[in-house]
Order: sequence, then structure tokens, then C-alpha cells
Amino acid sequence: MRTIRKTLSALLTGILLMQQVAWAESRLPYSDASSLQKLESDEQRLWSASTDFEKAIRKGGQIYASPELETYLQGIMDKLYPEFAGLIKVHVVNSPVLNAFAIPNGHIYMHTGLLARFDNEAQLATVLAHEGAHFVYRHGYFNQQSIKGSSAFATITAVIGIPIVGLIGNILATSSIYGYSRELEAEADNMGFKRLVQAGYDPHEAHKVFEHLAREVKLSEAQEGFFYSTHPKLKDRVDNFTKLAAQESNTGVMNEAEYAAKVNQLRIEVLEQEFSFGRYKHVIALLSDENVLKRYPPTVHYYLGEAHRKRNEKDDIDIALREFDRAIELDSDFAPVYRSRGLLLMSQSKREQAASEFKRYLELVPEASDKSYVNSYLETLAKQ
Amino acid sequence: MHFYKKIIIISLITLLTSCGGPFTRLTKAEYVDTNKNFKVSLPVGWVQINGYQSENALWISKDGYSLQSIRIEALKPDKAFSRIKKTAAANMPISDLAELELAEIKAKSSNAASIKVLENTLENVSDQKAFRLHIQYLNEKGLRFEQVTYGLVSAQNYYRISYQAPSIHYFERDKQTFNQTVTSFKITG
Repeated sequence: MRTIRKTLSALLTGILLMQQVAWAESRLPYSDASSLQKLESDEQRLWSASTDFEKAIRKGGQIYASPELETYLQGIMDKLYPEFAGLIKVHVVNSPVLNAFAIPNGHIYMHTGLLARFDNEAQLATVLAHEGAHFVYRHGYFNQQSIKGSSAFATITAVIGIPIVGLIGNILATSSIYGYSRELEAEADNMGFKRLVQAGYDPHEAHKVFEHLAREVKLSEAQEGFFYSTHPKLKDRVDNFTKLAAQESNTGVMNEAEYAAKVNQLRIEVLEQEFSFGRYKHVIALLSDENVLKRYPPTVHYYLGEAHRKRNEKDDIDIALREFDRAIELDSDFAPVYRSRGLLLMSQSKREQAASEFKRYLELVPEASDKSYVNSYLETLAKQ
Repeated sequence: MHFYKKIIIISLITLLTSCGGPFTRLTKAEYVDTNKNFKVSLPVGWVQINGYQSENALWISKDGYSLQSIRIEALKPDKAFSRIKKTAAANMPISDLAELELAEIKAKSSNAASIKVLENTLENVSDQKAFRLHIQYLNEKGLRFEQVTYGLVSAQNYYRISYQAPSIHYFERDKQTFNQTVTSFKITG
């Protein structure tokens, strides 16, 4: 009886050890470019699904076409992960939504909306390093394995009958875009932070990016659920990076001017995108920070005023008028502000003033694409 | 056996041609909706699409809704832009209304990044001011589509009249039919 018990105990220990070895092996990060040549068959399929996922993004015209910006981002990524230079590829998605994500084959997607929010290169590098860590530490693969091994996976496959490749695609899309478990995100924070410091960036900038985002997400009442636009997840990042930075006495580079030169135009484009999506609250939340306003050209006061005019809640009209005045004071030839001020004054039945604004608008842009609207407003005002 | 075959064929024909089925072929042009206060002349021979997606809309097509379709919606002004949670109002500047429509289209789209505005102009529909928004976008498979939307507000409703088709072949081919539909549209109350 004792012998049987001993044998069983040894067997059980053996199984547990094997499991731990398997677990540890599956959690080994890629070491360098050569390790990418020895993928497990499951992992190969995940990479293949990643490629399909990328094709869909490209076919759908979602890539922001700027080779110059891509080269700049790629240069930073290569500096953070030199042993994977050129293998962790950075792309830009044309979307105002605050997000960035890594897919299992090492391609990182940064949304224009997120790029427009960073103060400097060190903050950008923080996010790139975090996303790069998801790839190097095989979080996509690990996540897929843990979901696949769960009973939930079997149930979903059996009940819905989703083809396996599609399901893998869904899993990778879901976890990559919406975020991984707390444990994996913390690992990406820690490993990414080390890379940030090694690359010579200021570690004390890391938590600031998440603080800004958390503040904006809260103010805009965003409920998008993406990793970089979810308040509790951002709060975790702030906590993690604050702790990590406290252990670092050295400072590093921020490269604020270099970063601004690369994204100044994009920042304005993102504001216009926010408008075209009707995200007025986001514009107000973003631009209500004086330090953020400084990053933009004087015309930013027009955008802030227009967001208030369009949101049209308590005090918004007064704020809009104030911002329009400020925009004109700083740049009296910026045409859109006259149209918006005309619309606002028209809504207040200030006919003569409104007409004068519309006329000034058409003087500045005689061939404006919306001149049919503006002319009709002038006709209506003249009849009243 | 022959008897059962006949029954199945008759049932299928009834299903396809009756209102309860997925499609109803339009046999007369005049269409009047007294609840939503509008009338319009529709292209005879096209089919009306029934089902959950057409619950609040008059939705017609010639060859299938993925090839071309015309939709006419009459929504309460506070439900006009449900996705972006904005309201339409009769006194709203028409250019602002057009911008809300674009935001609503983008919010509903699975591929908003590909949407390009080709034209956004003022028009007259049912003897009142309306916007005409012409956009282009790519579907998930990369096929280019075009969509024209007219929008106007009455005291009771926000009316959205839209036409969409793939840019290749179909958009130009059936555009004239859509234009005639828009010209015939009248708010009745």
C-alpha cells in the first residue's frame, strides 16, 4: 500500500513538474530574430490569422498613409528592441479612437488619435515599448492557448460553430485590441519600461501619458472599451509606471520638439476627424487642458469653440463665442471661424452681425465647398 | 408526391410575393405612408425588402440590397441620430444637419476610416431645404461603394432618403432612378 502511495505521489509530482516545464516553455519570450524561425504549429496558425487580419485592415483603407511618420515610429521601435530591428513593424491606423495594439506576428498598430495625444517622444516610446513587449513575450499566443484550453472555447466552438481560423482571428482581435489580462498587461508594463530606460528615454514621462488619457477619458465620458480608452485599465498603468519610475533616479531624453515636428499636422487632422465623428465631448475634454492647447496653432481656439457650439449644453454658447473671438484675434484670416460665428449669431437672431460674418467667410474663401449653404443663410437673413 | 411539390411551389411563390416574405415586388409606383406623412413614387419592378433591417424604413432594390438600394426613413427628430445621440431640429442650420448625418454614418460604419465626402451641398426636396451628402467608402472586402443621402426636417419627422451601390457599374446605372424618387418625394403633413 505504501509503495503504491509512493508511486502515485511520484507520478503526480512528475506530471505537475512536466506541466510547469510546459507552462514555463510556453511563456519563454522570443530571444532574437532566429527564435522566430522555430514557431509551434499553433503559433504558426496564429501568425497566419494575424496576416489575414492585417489584410482586412489594409483592404478596408484604414491605414494612415504617411511613409515619413511610419519611418520615424519604426526608428523608435528599432531603438527599443534592437535585436528585432525591422521585425516589429509599426503602422498607423487612421482613427481618432484612443488605441494602439500589437498582433501576434509583431505588427504594432498606433491610432492617429493616440499619436495626437502624446507630449513628446518619450511618451510615444512608452506605448511602443509596452506594445512591443506583448509581442516579444508572446502574449497573443499565450492568451490564445489559455482560451483554447478553457471549457468556454469548446462551448463557443460547438454551439456557434465558428470556423477555427475565424475564431482564432476573433480571439487575437479581441485581446490585442481590447487588452490582455491584468497579469500580462503588468508584464508588458515592466518589460516595456526596462526597454524605455535602456533606450535612453526619460522614465518619468511614462506615467504622464496615461494620466492625460485617464483624465480625458473621464471628462469625455468615453465608453469605448479599448485598452487606451478604458479608465480602470489606464489607472492600472498610471499606478504601475509611477512605481517603476520611483525606482529610477536617472532622467533621459524627451525629444519634445522632434515629436511635435512629426505630428503637428496630424494633430489638426485628428481634431477634424473628431468633428466628423461627432465627438465634440472628446474635443472639449482634450482641449480643456491649457498645456495641451499650447501644442496647437492659434486656430485651435476655433476647434474648441466649434465643439462647444455643436455640443450646445449649458454655457457652451458663451464659451464658443469667447473662443471664436480669441481665434480671430490670433489669426484674423482663418475663414472657418467666421462661418461658425455666423451660424451662432444666426441662432441668436442677430441677423446683421450673422450676415456680416458669412460675407467675411465668403470673401476669404469665395469657392468654399459649402458656399451653397452659406449663400442660403444670407438669403434667409436678407428676407427676415 | 406531385401534389406536395405543387403545394411547396405555391407556398414559395406566395411567400416571395406577399408582405410576409423577404421581398415584395413593386407593381405600382405610388406609395403613401399616412403615419409618417410622406408620399413618393417608387420604381415599378423593383422589390421592397422586408425584415428586421427595414422595420423603420422603406427599403427597395432592383438586383439585391448589396448591389443597389434606396432607403427612405422617417424618424422622430429626437431619434434621428441615435448612434451619436444627437437630435434633429427644424430650425437647425442645414449644414449642421448634414454634419450630424455624416457623424451618424461614420458611427454606424464598420469601416469609417475609408469614408470620403465627395460632395455636401444644399438642395430642395419637397419644396424645402435639404442637404445632399455624397460619400464614398470601402466595404470589408475592399470594394468601393458610393452613397448619396438627402436629409430634411419637418415639425414631426427627420426624413433620410439614401441610395447606395458599388461604384463599379451599379451606382451610375441606377442613380437616375434614385433622382426621380427624390424628386417625387413629398411631405404630406
